[in-house]
Amino acid sequence: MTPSDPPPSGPPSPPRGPAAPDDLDLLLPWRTTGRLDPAEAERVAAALARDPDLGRRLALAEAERAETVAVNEALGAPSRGARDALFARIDSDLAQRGRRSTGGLLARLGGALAGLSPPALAGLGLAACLVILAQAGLLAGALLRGPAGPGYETASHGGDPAAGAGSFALVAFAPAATAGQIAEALREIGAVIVDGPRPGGLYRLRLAAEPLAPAAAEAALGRLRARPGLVQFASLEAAAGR
Amino acid sequence: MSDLSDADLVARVARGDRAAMQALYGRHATAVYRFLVRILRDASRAEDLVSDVFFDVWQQAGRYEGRASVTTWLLSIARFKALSALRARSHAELEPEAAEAVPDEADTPETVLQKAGKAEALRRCIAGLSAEHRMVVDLVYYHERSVEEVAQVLAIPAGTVKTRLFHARKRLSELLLAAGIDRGWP
Repeated sequence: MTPSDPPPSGPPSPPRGPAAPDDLDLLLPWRTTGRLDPAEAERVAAALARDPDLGRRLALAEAERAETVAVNEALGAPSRGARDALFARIDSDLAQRGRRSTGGLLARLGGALAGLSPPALAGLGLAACLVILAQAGLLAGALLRGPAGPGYETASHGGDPAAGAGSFALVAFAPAATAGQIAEALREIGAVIVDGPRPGGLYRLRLAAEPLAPAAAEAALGRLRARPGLVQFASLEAAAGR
Repeated sequence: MSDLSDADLVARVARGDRAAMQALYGRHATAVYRFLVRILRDASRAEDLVSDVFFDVWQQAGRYEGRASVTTWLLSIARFKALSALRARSHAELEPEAAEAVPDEADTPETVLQKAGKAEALRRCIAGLSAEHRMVVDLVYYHERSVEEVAQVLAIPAGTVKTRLFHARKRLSELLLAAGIDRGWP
């Protein structure tokens, strides 16, 4: 409230002179815009029906309203330049939000990695290495394979029909196993990775190009299982291949 | 976007929806601009503040809780920024409240009547009210705010809204009387 504001008026009262506004006079401006609450609107309507002078005073308020609207409408509208300036600021803010969002994602990823135990982190690193090796093999194979003559093919590419035949196993390596340990073990039993990682971190190994006797295949897997800290899970797949 | 309510648009703006911001601006920028021009009497400064008002909306839409209509919310932000701008005017040595209360005396009542008829005289007298009185007159008659909504925008009690408008209208009658037009009220 400012010093020029008198205290709010009391309940309805008869006209009391210029310094003491009638409550109905206070409400008339909102009657012109239809913004009185229902009870007040009813009260003003009843007073208008019985007091012709109140109707005259309502006409004064309606004239004030009409001219106030005219004054405002003569002011025009903000320019196109003002709008463009605003949306340039908004675009800049959107770009900043995008950068903050990217930074936040990396920070969350870093936090998640920091929260992993060393064995889990090592396993994750190994899996990433294997994926990268497999991708490198795929790219090199696609590059080197020519239309004629023998070509280079990775074990995981599976372009050779022979890759679909033989004896296969599903293996989950231990998180702590290193790429070197895995490569050495696979070399020892003559196996190659032909697929993976699948859900659960499983890799598909080809133990031999031809179907092995179940005992021979199980023996090969046994040698993998015998290496400490190498595999978490190892099981023969059906000999029919893929 | 045209079928969405103002509140829906604000909710989308809170999620960073630029198109919703464009729709909201399209609906309300002119009213906000006119409200600011009437307070500041400076179209260029008003344009700058329109941009500030809507940029605040862009950044703070998530805080809108729907307790006031979007129009009322926008006008509240606009009033706050306009009063801050008035206070910052270096040439105004007056206290802000006092500066707001000083009417524009650019035209004397006699010249008003000489220049125009009764309607024009009324418009000039409306334009000549103090900033405090212009705000309440505009909010009620042009922006069509209810008593409670004007109270929210001006941050004053509802009863004070009624009496402030009464005194603005009384001042109008005084200006018109001085110009030779007796309205017979109050």
